[in-house]
Amino acid sequence: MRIQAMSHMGQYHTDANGTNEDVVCSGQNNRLCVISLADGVSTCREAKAGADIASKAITHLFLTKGNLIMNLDNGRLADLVFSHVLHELKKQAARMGLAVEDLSCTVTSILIDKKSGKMLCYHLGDSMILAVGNGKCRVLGMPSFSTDGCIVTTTENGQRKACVSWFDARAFESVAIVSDGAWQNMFSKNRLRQDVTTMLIHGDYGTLEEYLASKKCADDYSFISADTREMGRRCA
Amino acid sequence: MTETNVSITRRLAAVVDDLQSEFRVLCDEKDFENKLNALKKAGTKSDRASKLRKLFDLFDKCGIEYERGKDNTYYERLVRDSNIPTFSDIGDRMLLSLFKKYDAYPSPEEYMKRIVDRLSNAEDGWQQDTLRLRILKQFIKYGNYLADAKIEGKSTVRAFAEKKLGKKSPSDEEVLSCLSDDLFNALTIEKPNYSGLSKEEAKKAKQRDKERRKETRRKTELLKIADDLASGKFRSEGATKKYLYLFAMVFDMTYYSGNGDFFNPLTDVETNLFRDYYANNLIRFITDAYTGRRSEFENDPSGQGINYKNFAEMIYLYFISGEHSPQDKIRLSSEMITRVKENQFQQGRIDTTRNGGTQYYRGLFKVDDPGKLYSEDILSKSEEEFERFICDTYDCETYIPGDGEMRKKDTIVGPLQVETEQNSAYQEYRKVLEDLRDLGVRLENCNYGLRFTDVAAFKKNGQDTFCRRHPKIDPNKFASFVDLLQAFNDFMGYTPTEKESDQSEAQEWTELATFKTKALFIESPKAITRTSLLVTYYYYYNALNEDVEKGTWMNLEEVYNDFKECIDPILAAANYQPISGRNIIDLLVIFSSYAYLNVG
Repeated sequence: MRIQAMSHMGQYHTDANGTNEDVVCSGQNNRLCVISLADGVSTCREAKAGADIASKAITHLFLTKGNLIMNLDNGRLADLVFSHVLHELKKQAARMGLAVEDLSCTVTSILIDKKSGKMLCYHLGDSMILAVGNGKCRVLGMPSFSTDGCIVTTTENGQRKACVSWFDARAFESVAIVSDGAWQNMFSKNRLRQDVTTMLIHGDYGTLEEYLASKKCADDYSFISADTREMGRRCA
Repeated sequence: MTETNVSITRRLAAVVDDLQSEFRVLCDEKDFENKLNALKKAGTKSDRASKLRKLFDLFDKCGIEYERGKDNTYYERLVRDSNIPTFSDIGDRMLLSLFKKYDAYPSPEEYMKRIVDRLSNAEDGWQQDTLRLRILKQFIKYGNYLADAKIEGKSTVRAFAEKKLGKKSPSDEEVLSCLSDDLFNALTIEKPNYSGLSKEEAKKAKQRDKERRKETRRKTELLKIADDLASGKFRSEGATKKYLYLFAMVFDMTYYSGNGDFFNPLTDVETNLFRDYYANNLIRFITDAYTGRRSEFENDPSGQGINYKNFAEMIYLYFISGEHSPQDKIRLSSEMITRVKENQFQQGRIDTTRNGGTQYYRGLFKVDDPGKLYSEDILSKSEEEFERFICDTYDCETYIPGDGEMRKKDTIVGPLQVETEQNSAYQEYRKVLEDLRDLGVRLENCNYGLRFTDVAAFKKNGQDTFCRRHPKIDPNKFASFVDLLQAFNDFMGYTPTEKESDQSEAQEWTELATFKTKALFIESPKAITRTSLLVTYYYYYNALNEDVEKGTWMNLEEVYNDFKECIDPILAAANYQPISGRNIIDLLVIFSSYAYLNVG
């Protein structure tokens, strides 16, 4: 399954000589494909490290235990994934002598069973999941909006706020995870811009990347996509 | 209601949880007496064991610690020393707890203020103005005084500014800078005094005053809209809905269709205005505006939210979703509605029920399953295509011919009054009535209203007695809470005016009171409301479960979950919102069911 990704530092971090705190990650085997995106909380000391650990932890979990996970109910699944990521963050925090909150981030991941087409979306935070197909785009995973602050990997009882949803990947041509720094420039109010819709429908991610670069996004901007039309083919 | 520092959402979520934990079990002295008497009378060893088990269950549910293997004297002393409440105590506790929770519920003003705070441009600097003034200023700056929607009031506002500034033709910026809340004094109509006039003079004076009042109302419509929205007044004939759509445009709100857009709970028009504010906000029963002025206002909002069968509402949604400036949205939507209305006048009606009713029309605009990619995005059509689509698909006929019977004269209705029948909701309502009749319950006997308090007693004695028993509560706040209970009790049943009877008690109690509760006698799909359906189902639910052995429904949580599980599919089929702890009326109804099933 073809995976494309891009991730760039936003103007805010560039001006502050910071780092890009978005991390994209992917993996696949004969049966399963996983794409993930984590976005570090800027005010946290080791946001980048946290995003790195979260995206790798969830990708690894889905890739190695995906068959098992696909059979769990949503509640247990959310508990398992959330606690696994948190556990990995705590381990790293202990190594670094920090509080786990210093590694806070959002994390979103898509697990696809290439044989059955079953697709699991796990979504925590303000990134977005998009699907493209039949000349249309859909938002499958809504970004969280809250006056109380974004739900992140270290939020108490955050597993209750994690969104778990299921789809048939064969209904789409591609699926993508987009960080908030990117989608905020892809939408006008709450509707996808027409020019961006065209880019997504044609899979023209190069043009999308140029478009986002031209916007001088304040926040780090990233996306990672999987081409689901190629399901069932052998990986190169 | 008091302002708190806790966000509205969290306050509401805490309400139901707190009530549940407080009334996890409801039992009084009598329950324990019954268990102890049964224990004393128990004969064989196995009989005693089963009676003890029931007593232990009660101790467990009430959180009373006890030891097993003791004699009856021990258990009697334990009950005596455990301060079990009397029935009267429980009634008080329930009322007191609900009152405390009621205080946490936001008023219509708070809801609206939250929206305005969130959506206003901070740079305008209007944060210190009154809510109605802020809304008015938004209408002026971003909506050109709503003049494009044929709303009058611009001249009144500008006259006020001219007087205050001492200059003619001030700019809009100058107008905005000098406006103050006393502008709204123009809404006050002085009560006329005809004393000292002859009959003929009084008649002429009344006619003149009537014309003047009509003229004043016309000239202050813009102020009235801002005032209504700020204070939660719902006008009849679809007027409030139009104002809400105009509000959504000037505050640049969004609409979520599921078609290439995302849901933003902070700006979504359907969630914020047509659910939380309009459909669910029944607290206005207690506002001053409604005292003695019921005919001018709806009795209760229908609960329908956005009417997807109504062509004018769809036009509003189209432009809310679009890219135009707020002023252009208002102008273009008003123009399209007028064109469609005029072009389709007396062209005949489209049978929307045959097309599929609300479900079908809702499906044209909303994609419920984002995984399905085959639906057309109506909101992406050009304006010309969209207008054609509306004319071809919707019933846009505003002309209703007289039928010589009930409606003698030909009538022209407003665009927002077209297709307001709620056929699905009425169908569900009729089913619940049938279910009630199947249980052998006469509809005329469904009038006992709220059960967790004696509303009649409060009406007779006032809340003085209760406040004396609970000196810590604020009597004024409690008075407004009792107003809400009485108003809602009137809606659910009736509040008897007690008077001395010359009958004996036995004679008084031979027959159930027969007084028709309006909610159970709705005869038209146009008149059905969510609250009416809820109240009707309340009587059915109570009748269905009242014979279940007491002790089954022992906590509020179980009743709440069961009631919700049973009625939510009915509400969904009626295109209404499901039961929610965020809706105080839902809470009062279920709490009342809980009291009915536990106390009787």
